[in-house]
Amino acid sequence: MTSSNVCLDARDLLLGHKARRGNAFSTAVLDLNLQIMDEEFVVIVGPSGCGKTTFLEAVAGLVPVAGGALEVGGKAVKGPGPERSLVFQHASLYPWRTVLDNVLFGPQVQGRLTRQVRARAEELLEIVGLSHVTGKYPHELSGGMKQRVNLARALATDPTLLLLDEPFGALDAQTRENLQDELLRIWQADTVSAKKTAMFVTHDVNEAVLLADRVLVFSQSPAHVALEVKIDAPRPRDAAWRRSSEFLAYGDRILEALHHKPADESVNPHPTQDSAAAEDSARNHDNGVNTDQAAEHARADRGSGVQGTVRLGSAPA
Amino acid sequence: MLWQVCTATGVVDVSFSSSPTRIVGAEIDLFGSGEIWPALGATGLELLWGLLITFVVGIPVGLVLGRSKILHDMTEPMVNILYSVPYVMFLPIIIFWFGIGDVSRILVIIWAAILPLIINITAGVRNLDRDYTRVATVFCTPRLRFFYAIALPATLPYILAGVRLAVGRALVGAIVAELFLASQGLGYFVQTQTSNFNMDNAMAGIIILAVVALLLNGAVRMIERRFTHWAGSQ
Repeated sequence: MTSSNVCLDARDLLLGHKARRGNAFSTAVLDLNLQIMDEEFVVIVGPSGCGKTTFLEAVAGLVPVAGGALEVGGKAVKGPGPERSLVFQHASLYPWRTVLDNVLFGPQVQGRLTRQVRARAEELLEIVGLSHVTGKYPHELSGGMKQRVNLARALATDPTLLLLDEPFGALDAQTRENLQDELLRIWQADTVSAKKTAMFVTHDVNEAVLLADRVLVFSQSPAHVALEVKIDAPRPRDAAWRRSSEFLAYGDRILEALHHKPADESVNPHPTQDSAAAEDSARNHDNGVNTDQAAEHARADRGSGVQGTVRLGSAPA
Repeated sequence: MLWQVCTATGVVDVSFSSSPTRIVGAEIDLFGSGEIWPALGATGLELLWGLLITFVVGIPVGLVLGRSKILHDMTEPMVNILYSVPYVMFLPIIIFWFGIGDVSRILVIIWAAILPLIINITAGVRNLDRDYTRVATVFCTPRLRFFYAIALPATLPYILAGVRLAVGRALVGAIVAELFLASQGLGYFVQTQTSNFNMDNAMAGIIILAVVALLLNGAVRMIERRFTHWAGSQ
């Protein structure tokens, strides 16, 4: 499955956000070292606010590298590039474009809209199961369908590195599980994953074990890799993999690391005694993280509100 | 109705106020004899040029001002001043600079119409969804392309709202310009007819103007429905 070439290489990486006023710098990622091989599917899990999304945005070229090295395909990341594309957390489709035109957006603005690209876009829409709505507008689609378009749009530029930023986080539980299985199927379709590497950020442990070749558990902020778990399940996997005992054991181990308990390196992915309990704890954990995230969003909203007021006050009368 | 009754019973003098039936008669006369066409044509041509220049200049300027914080901060006080001070104040100066020809009238129309358009578009671009710009950035959208591939369609609802304001103000501008500095056009027509004590024709001119205004408004609304059907349903 994986080759020996390094696709993404982070060495002593420092990332953070500069405050809008003054020189304050909030560190999100400190001394991060990790490597992702070509054609590998790596999932990063971590507590909310740990800097995993910042790391993903840095790889996408949206957040500048503040220190250390970050290389994709041997070249330092200096901004967005056509060889990387991002599946956004919110679908962020352009409402004035049809589904097909949204998928074609990337190739179009990169000036490589050929007949093959068009055919490929239509093929991708068929793969994600949307060939019947190519002429519809985003507001006519459900949340799950929008995320499929989001995925097809990212794949349409034929990137070597696909970045996914909690793409199913905002969906309801049933749709989410559905789309996870779908993504697994899509990724394992021959034409999609050929020579592609994926980096998937999530807080959902089950999602991680389902999809990943390798799971990296990030610590609390500033993030570093707290645990690395290779998921040794043969591909193609299917939904049945979810219900296997190894699956639950992997999930347990990752959860333990997330909860700051020192991970016992000798633990092998063997079936746990009480698999139902493991599942329960996974669910509880999910809920906890979701609540945290909601709180974070609320904080962010308040923050921008305050900023708006300040700007109003200081505007020339 | 009340108007018709009052004039018919002689409560109000018909020669001062005209009446609906007499306006209809004047309307038939004006169109029948072709007397109104030069005036209507002159006003129409002014409006056409004035609005054309307003859109061609105003829309790109609004988009750029919305994207560039520096340019926006630099021009905002100026735009606010020009918008707040009634443009009629500048009429004597415009006459002094450009005389009382077509150029002056078109200038008055642009002056009246372009500011609400620019202000509306600037506000629209500044409220651009952050997700739109993020997607554009990730897919490496060139800067110029961003304007017409994203900023323009995304702010289209704002642009068309601005266009509607602009059309209304342009009409006012055109009439004001004609009242002050013209020897043709609908505004001039109404003024001279009133001076000649021909209230029927004057009122008929006002009705024609109202119809023109309604038609222009309807046209903009049609464009809105055609191109921004996706907005609001998000």
